[in-house]
Amino acid sequence: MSHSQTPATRLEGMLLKNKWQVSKKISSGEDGVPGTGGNFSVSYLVENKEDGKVYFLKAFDFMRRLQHTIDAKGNVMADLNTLTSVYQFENMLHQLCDSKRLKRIVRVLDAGDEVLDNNYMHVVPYLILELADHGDIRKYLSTSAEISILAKLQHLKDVALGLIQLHNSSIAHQDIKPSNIMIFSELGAKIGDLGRASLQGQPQIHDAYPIAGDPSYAPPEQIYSYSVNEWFDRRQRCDLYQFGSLITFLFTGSTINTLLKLKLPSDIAPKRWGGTGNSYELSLPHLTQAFEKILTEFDTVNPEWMSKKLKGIVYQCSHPNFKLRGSSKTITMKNPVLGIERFVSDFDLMIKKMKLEGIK
Amino acid sequence: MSVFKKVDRRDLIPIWKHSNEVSSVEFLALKARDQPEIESSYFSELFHDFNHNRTIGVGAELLNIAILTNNISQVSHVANFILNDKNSPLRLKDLARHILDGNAFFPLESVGRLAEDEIRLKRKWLKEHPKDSLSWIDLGRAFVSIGEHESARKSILTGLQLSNHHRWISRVSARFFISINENDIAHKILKKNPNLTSDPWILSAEIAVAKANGRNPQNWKVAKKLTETIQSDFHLTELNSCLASLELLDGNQKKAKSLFINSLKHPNANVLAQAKWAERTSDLKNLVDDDFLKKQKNSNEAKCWACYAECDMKSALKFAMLWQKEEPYTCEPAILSSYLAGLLDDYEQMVNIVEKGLIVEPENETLNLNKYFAEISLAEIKNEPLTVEKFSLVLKFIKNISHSKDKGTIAHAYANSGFIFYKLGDFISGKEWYEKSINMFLSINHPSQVLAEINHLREALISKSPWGESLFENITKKVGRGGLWNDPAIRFYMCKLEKIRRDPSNWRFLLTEDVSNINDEVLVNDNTSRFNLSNKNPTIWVSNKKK
Repeated sequence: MSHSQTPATRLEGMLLKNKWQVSKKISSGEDGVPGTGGNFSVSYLVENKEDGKVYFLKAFDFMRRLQHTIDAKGNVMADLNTLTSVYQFENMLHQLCDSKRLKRIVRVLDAGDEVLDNNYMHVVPYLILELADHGDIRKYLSTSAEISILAKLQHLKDVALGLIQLHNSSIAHQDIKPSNIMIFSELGAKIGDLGRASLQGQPQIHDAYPIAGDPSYAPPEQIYSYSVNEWFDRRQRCDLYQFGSLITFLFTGSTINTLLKLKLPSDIAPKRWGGTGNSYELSLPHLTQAFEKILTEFDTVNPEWMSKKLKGIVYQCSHPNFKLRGSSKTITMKNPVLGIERFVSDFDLMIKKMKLEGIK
Repeated sequence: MSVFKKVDRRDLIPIWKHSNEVSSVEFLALKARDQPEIESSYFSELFHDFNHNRTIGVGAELLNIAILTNNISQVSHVANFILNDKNSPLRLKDLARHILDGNAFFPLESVGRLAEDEIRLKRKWLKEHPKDSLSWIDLGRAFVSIGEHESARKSILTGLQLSNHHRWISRVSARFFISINENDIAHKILKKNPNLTSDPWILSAEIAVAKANGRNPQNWKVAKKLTETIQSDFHLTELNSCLASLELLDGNQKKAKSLFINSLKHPNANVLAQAKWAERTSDLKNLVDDDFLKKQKNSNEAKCWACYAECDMKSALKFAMLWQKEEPYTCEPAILSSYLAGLLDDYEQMVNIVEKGLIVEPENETLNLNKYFAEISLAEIKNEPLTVEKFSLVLKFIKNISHSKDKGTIAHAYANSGFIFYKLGDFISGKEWYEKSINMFLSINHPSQVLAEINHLREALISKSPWGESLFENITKKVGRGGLWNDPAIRFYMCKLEKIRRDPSNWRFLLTEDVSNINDEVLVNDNTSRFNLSNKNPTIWVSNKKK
């Protein structure tokens, strides 16, 4: 069966659970679609027959994935087990977020599995999520008049709040990247795609990978395959690194990893970036120096006070030394905490100051 | 002029380069953690998305991912899109240009050519970025090169604290404390490193520092075990060389040879210089392939000694001066360079070299004595009047160091006194002081005795002293008869003196002429010996016949 014929791609026009009318298959790059279809999923728009509102459906394409495994002569049964666990885990995480009323996380409204052709092999598990009417945060990179700096700051504050909510529920997202930050006209920014998230105390398959989320957004310790023992250091500090990178992307157009790669000597840079460096610990002084240098990218941000403030936040969030990630006021405590609340206050202050100065 | 130490021992103390110039090997782990290629389809997904959704945001992310996944050749159209959109941020446009033209994304950084500039730039940087340990270490290096040892110490300790136990930072910090003669602290830094017994770079430095500190290395056995268990020629290069040196000093040439050979399988500049030391101080010859050495970047110390062994003193000086530039934190290269400039009787260069060396270590007695020697020689070459007043500072200095505890230094001072008396026209006193110097060197079996004799001969010939001829005959008999009398410098300088002996009135020209232009073999027959005065391997054949 070819990709176009897999059951997950044939949901258009179907009514699921007598409630969800599948209207249109959509590209992962289209507005409102969180993340990408990278993990073998197909996206649809669905209409709630009860309220008439449009939502987003993420269908897990098990068949395509299994075919891929067969082609690669992999272990099909092991992969099947992985797929079911990933689906169930993501569903469970969303339920957990919902039960805790995590407002800054994209909500899952329903979940189910549809069997096509009356053939249990053609089962399509799916999740139905909120659809972000303003797409993802990448559009806020534009310098056009419609995009206000104020909105950028507000959205970043929402992301920080989302991280606090997740971390307080012992969840680390691990894949914070621009395409996973969804913008809702009335609700602001929310974090989407928990497909790579980690729940403390309940390790999943991707928890064992050196890099759980997207490798291009992974922090240096993961890129150099350095083992970090504590869950807090390994997972929550990874989220913070990616949050700093998100800020950098929104204000400069480059991610922290891109800037680091461009700045590091090639014999220090990790293999993944085309370098020959093989040790996180031994590369750390160079990583630190490169990091300090790339923060000058914020010098192009106006006004100057905001440039300094953002630089300070990114410095605390994305330091290459994972032990130094977190609010400078809280990581030195006996039981260190990341202190993301302080960054929320920083964003609040910046927003207020901008309003006072009449900057949009 | 002087260079020879009582015991020519070179300890394999780490070389301290600017952090920008360090060989990457020192930043590599012994066992590389597997960095598996993790499958990611994100680039192709974004590529596909951009075709459906051509926005600055998606384009920008695609450019970033293309850079990180080494796919920039596929995103020229995206870069053009970004450049043509008036709403693209400025630096994003720079990123697009970088992708299209390969231009550097970051502007070139200012590098201070002079230590003072480097200090100014680093201080300014560190004020804003105080956690950059590499910059603290580089600042320390700049400070020590201008003799600001206290400021250097503060910088080094800050850098060390920020990157505690880091291999390179521990090694160069130890190097710093060796440079300022605080060997105990140097040793402590390395001994406290938790990777001491597992990291051959730390261990080789620790053993070398212990030896420099006059202690017997305690980790010799651990080091031997490491050389057996670690399968990496480049990670073991210094440790093998270090063990080879210990074996050599213990008189085990056979063991030393095999360790030196192992060390040279993937050598760095330090190991090459160490092997050259072994070649010149033992019977281990041809350890280093000189053709290989010539092709090496830097390694100027080793290159200098290779040229020296070939009697190519002009090239030796060139490399010694490059070595001085490479290692501005120590006066060792200045001592060697000034000695070589002295052999070439290039006094202007000698003064210049010594002045730079004295910035690092103002009190260094050898450098001070070499400085006075060069200044007086230069004045005489230029036919400037030499008066007692002119010598007052020198004599005062000589008087002071005559009370030194080190007999070698006293003998050196005596030789300088002899030199001054010759220049003042009091040849008898000059002779007496030189003889006192030679006797004192002899009493402590110091190799510089040979240099004192050669210098005395030069002054005797230039001054046309009646004992010049007998001195010449006496010294000629010793040349090539073992010890330092076999040294290339003696062969080189004696050929010069032979020419002066034949034409003493023309000594100014003959002493300073550029011998590198003399390519023809000029054989001079003498009753007791024959001289080949060519610049290529000048040779003296000594007759065994008694006169």
